[in-house]
Amino acid sequence: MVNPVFLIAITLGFAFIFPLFEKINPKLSRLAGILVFLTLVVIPLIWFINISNMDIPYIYSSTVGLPSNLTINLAVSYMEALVLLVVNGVGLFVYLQEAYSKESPWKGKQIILLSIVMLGANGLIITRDIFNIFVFMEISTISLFGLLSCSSDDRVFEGGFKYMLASGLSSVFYLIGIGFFYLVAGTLNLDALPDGINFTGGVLGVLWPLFLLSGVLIELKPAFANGWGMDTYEAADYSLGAIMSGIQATALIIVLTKIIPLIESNIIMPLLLVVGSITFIISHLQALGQSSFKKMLGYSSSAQIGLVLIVLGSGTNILLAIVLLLTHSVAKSGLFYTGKYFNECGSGRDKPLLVVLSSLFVIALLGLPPFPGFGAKWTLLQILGGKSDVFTIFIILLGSLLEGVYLFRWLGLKIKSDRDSGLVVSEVVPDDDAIPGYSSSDTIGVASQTGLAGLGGCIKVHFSSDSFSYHQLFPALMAVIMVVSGVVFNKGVGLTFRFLIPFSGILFFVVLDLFRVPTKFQVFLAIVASIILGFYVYPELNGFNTLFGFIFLFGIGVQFIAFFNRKGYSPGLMALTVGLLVSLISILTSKTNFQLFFSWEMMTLTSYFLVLRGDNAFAGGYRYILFSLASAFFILAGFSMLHGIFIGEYMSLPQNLLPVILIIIGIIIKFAGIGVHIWLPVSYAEAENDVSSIFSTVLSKVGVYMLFLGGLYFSKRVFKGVDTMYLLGWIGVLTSVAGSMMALFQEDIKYTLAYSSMGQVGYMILGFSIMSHLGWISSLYLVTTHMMFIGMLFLSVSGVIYRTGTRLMYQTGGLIKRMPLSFISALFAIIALSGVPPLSGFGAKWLMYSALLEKGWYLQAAMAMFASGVAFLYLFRLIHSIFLGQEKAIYLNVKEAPAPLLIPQYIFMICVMAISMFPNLLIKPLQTVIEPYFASTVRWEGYEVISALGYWNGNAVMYVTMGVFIIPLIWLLIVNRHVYKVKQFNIVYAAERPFKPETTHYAYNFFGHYQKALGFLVEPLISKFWNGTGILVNNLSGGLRRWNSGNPQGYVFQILLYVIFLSFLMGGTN
Amino acid sequence: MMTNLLFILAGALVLVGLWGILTRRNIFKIIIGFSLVDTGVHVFLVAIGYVKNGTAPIFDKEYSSLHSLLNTVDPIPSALVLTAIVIGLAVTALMLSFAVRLILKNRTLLVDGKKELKW
Repeated sequence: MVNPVFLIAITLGFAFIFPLFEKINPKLSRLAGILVFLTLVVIPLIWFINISNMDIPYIYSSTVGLPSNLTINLAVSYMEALVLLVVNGVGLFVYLQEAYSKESPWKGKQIILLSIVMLGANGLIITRDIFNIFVFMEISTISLFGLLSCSSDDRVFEGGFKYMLASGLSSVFYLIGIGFFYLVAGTLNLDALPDGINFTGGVLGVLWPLFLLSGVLIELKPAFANGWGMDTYEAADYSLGAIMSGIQATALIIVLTKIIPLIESNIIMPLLLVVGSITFIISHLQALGQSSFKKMLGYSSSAQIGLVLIVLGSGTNILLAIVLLLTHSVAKSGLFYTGKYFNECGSGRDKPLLVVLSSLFVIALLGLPPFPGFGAKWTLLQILGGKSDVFTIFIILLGSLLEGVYLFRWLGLKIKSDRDSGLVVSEVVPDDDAIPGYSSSDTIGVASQTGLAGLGGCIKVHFSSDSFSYHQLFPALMAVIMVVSGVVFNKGVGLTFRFLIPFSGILFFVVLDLFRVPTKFQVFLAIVASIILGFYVYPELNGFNTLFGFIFLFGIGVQFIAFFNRKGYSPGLMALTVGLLVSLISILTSKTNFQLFFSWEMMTLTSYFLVLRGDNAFAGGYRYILFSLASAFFILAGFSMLHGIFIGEYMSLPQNLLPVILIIIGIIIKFAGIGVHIWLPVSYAEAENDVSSIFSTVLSKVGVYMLFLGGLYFSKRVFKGVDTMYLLGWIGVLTSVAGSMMALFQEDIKYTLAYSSMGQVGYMILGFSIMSHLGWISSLYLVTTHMMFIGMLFLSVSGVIYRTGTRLMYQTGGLIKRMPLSFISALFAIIALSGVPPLSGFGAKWLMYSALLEKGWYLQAAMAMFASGVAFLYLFRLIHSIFLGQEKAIYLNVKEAPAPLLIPQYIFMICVMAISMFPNLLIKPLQTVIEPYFASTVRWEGYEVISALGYWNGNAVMYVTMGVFIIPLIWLLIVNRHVYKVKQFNIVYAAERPFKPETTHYAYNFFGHYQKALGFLVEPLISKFWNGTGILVNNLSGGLRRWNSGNPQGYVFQILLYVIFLSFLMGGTN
Repeated sequence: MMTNLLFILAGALVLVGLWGILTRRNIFKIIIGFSLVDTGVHVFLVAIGYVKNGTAPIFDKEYSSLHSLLNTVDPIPSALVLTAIVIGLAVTALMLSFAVRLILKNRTLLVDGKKELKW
């Protein structure tokens, strides 16, 4: 076995010999460097394999050949080998990046210094001597200062000076700690501590841990004493950031794990918990307000270290802390490099590799799947949940959310198109007295929504030859290693092989993209894949899963056809869509909470990147991912308190209220309940048209699925004297009213449909919360049929947008003659959606009202009825503005929508017609699904369904309605000849000049009169609330940032304060 | 008594040094303050191993008697101090070199004369 001392010998030897080598042959010397840094990786790898295979606890070396209690010992166990492997891997990565950099490659002293940095880090990890730790700490910081002085930014001297003061102080504290420790223990060798020594007695018992901890903790840059470190991050080169956060901080945490066992656990554990929590939250808040990318990552590193401290302090498995630490180490150093290339090149739309890599690193940092951090966080929360440690769970999830706020903001800004203003643009009708031309929202809105919006289907990302350099291979390699290790780790936590299918799907289509396979062919493959998936998965599904499996597979599979409308290449599109579909199916086949949540997060991520493909999608995607993350974290918090019992097994779940509330809140956010809905309209509207349609038809049902999965578990919980389901019912009905009302006043057709979709999901929730046979049937019935008719509507509208290039309803008109097939599809969808006879929507409403009346929820029934009346109004507006009325001159040559868009519409239409004619086609299967939960309260006679309140015969309704409509139709055809046609702008304005001609169009501000009467209902109060929250958080961040004033003496003062704070913590727990 | 005096001296040196770091705005004075703190810590470490009227921990003729064996000055803290002094020297030298660069760049001796990095 290799002696650990070789790590030190190799690095030191290389540092000495390198200048000589370089004199002789620079090229060869650089190659020798690769060899050396590679050896540093290989040695721990050998240890790691040996330790895990041969059951030796650790590899041990006592230097100088004396007995181990007289020497400085070096030891490597499983944990150290792993950490060394990663840290040295990062070192190798930095070396390869910098020694072979195109502009200003590292030479001579920089390479020597890097070698010494590695020496320090390796020494810190393997040494077992308290004083030796001090030496290695100093070696690594001094060499870091040397590297800093070579940075290209000359502000680094200011930052470096602050760093020196701080690290000088921390080493002073550490030395004092060593002195006190020696007084107490009589030795500095961690392996030769006398047995039974009392470490806690008297003043000394407090002093040595206080100073030792202060020394190490301050070097770890904890909030609120980390400004010096952050200033250094800002000015230092990217690679130094990677070294500081990826190598040094990691090694120092290992030092901490050596000191922690010496201190009594009832002192150290709460202390670490407090220190970690403060750092985790405050550093994230400070990072949020940063404009400097490097400083943002610096704060993020500090926060991540805080998270590791929390894990160490929570007394859970130390391996979890290590996994989180190492994930952070690799992801952060990777992000420093991708960030470097990104910041040099502006927008990333034409840099697909950078986009992919940055996304992967950001996801890894946040602890989302498939990376190791995900499994580690999950296990951690399960343990904390088992201990009912709600506070720590809250801190961890809040911090993670804050981290998402700034990391996804950065990522989104890098991925957004150049035309994207980054703001939410929705066309707003100005007040009557608004000064023409000065309404900012209006001008932006029109500019971005007209014209080229229809080109949403074209290629956004293209490969350019100069975008690729072999330098990006190293980060790519790191990302691949991380994904693989993540998959292995998460498999260890509880994934089965099947949950890796999303990756193989994504990977397969990514490979197709790399080989420039045209999108059309990819779509074909995707359809084949979804059929195979259906055959493979279907036999396993039962109950609700079958129904939702049908919705996901059939819904997405049919809409794949719409993708045939795309021309050329759309890199990433099919990979993400197939990934989304497979994650949705994985959700259905999950057997444990871990599998379910894993797939849930995969779904969130794939759909997020799908949204981001839109042209103006930054704001939409940002809101989407933040609210989705919040939702996921609520669900995660709830899951952590279920004691590992699968949520689908509702009978055996624990009976406490808190997890129920948390999971329901998570679901409410996911289906965009009123109050947390602001992400939905903008993300649905700004995604590409065919993608929006998938979101609205299929993805909106996932929250509903989760409700049904938990099923009865959620019912019969009483929260402050009120049944939770009663509350949920109110949220459902209010969501449907709000969604419909807001849909009413949109000029932008996609916003109308998005709000409409939100309102319809509100009905589904209402149906679920009734908790009766009829209620559930009505809900599931709506889930199924809504998928179909909103799909028809969205695709029909997509066709219109594709042909006309505008999303604003008043700009179109009279398209019935140009696009008759789209019109018919939209008409049927509208009839179905608004719930008028004879189509399926009527059945849904009938079932819903019956269920509500049966339950005795009269007020809710009245409001639901009001909402569906409103729904009829906005749908009427839609069809009237777009298809009826007079033709616009510019659209005289518009053709019918392309076949790929029409085919799925007509497939859906056939289904809707079938269900409308024969409701039992759908309702019978639904009954069998619901049977295990509720006894049936309806019965069947032929095609007639009979409830306690009446009966519904789909067939008869169809015939009667047809009869009722045919007579007026004939009458209209007769009188049509006498109609006098009014020219389009034939409106006389009395002393009033319209500020733009569109405003004279009848379809503009169509429901202005309603808005005057009921507009107060749609005041953007909730948007204002969330904007206010955003501003509040930003201000908080700004305030916290200012704590780090940039004054070196201020920083010294903060460090002294921090030590006093630590001493209070120790005294407090003593 | 002597040892206590050493401890007091060490504490005083550290406090004076900290006071200097916190209150002087001249970069060089701050570095001097820093050196004072360092020296204080070194004195503290030496004091830990100090034995009054003790023997130096060197193997020679004096060392043979039991009395001197029991009254040997602990060599470990002294060894630590030696290392710490060397490291302190390196840190101080680096600090001074950074200070020079800072002063040349900012054209002022004040440590907070020109803050480019903050928040």
